[in-house]
Amino acid sequence: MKVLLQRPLILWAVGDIQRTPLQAVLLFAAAASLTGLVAIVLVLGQALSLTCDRLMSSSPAVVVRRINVGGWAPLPVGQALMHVKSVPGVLNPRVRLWGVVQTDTGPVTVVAVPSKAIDGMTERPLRSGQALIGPGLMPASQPATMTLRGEQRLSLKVAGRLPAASAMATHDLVLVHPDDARNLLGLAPDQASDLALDVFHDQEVETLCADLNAAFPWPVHISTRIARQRRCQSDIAQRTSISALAFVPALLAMAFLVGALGIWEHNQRFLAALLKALGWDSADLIRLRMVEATLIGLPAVVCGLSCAYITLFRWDMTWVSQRLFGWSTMATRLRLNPGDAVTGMLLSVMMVGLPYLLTVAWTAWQSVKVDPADRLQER
Amino acid sequence: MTMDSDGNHTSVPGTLKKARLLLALLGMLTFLPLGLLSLDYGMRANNQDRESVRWMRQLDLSVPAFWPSGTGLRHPETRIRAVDRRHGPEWPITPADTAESGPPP
Repeated sequence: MKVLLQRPLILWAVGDIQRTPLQAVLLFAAAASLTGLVAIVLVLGQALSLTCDRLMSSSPAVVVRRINVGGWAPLPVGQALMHVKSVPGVLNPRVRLWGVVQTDTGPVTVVAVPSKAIDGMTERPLRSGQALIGPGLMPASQPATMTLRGEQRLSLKVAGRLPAASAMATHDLVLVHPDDARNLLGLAPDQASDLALDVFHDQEVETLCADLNAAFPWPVHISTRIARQRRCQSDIAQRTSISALAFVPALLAMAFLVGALGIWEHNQRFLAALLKALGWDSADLIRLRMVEATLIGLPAVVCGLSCAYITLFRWDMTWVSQRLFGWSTMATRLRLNPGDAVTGMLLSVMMVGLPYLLTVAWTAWQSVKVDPADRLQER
Repeated sequence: MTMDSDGNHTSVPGTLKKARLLLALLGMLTFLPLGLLSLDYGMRANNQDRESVRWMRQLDLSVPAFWPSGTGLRHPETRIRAVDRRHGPEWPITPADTAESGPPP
């Protein structure tokens, strides 16, 4: 601070800001809100899609489902594993038991988990007749029983809740014992929903698909992680591109800001002429205007970025899933990664900061290049 | 008013005392949020979604719960090309995704 106070130009610029407090406050508010708006629009899509990518990198590389003319058909576990093991390049084949069933509040995804699969991840092991529910299902105040309607109607005791921090994966999941899942989904003990497997490299998947198609004696539908990622990314891009409409008012606000700066600078011409007559040169005057603009603009940009950061990366952010992904019930708490924000934030600083500084420099140049005697005589 | 060896004024005249306060305020508005953001960023830059990633892997889920259950994007493996999902026969058939395979529609 002492260093700054020893520089007369900075002190003079602060004095100038003090002389026009209302204009300075308006300029600060305009620059801050503009930066915040642009940052939210730029960072939202980027953070969502990178977080989604990272989550999906833990999903199975390939999912094989048995189908018939009506759509999905149950997969015979023994035969499916026998056939898939004959395909070279297939890693870690395992069957999955899951499906979508109805509850009183809407559809939920039921996933069967053997107790040992989630040992140490939940408070207590899961038994038949019990369910572990995702953080977005049923408020804690409601009775501890959940009725699921699939092939059968089943009332399960809610034995616990999945951690809130896992909401992006488990928001509306119901984890049940495999026996209960089979009853709900209408599967025999030797049947499963589908088959998941991994591969050494994602590049192998396309060639593996043909081999997998040929390996099974019934028609199958093969879904790859690459295709799933591509579809999710395109959906996120489509949904977040709507928010780019905010650029229209943002550009308008930027135009107003530039216009207001021009008018302000026009009014300052007399002062510039006076200072020039007192011995200041043009470079001093332009430097003074740039220092003034930086003193207002820098905190404004930082405040705008902070607002955008808090809006997007706070712990309990639900507005995005509510607005963008169409949740009608309790929306998913998104915990997007701030690490994905840096580029978007820097871009928004450039998008607002550069035109702002250029406008100030241009208008300052316009005001100093006139003859001070003429300007003083006009007054 | 005092001067340093270069002839610059080092003390603040009375009329500019408020300027010192304003400068302090502007500095605070810049460096306080920046410091707090950097602290928060350093603490959770790359671990904010760690718990969700762990559960995705443990439960072998295909897609995160961004989309509600029962929708096509939440369960992409249920989008089967063999099943015509157009609302009307006059609508064009969506081109198949080349990275997926299955019987032709």
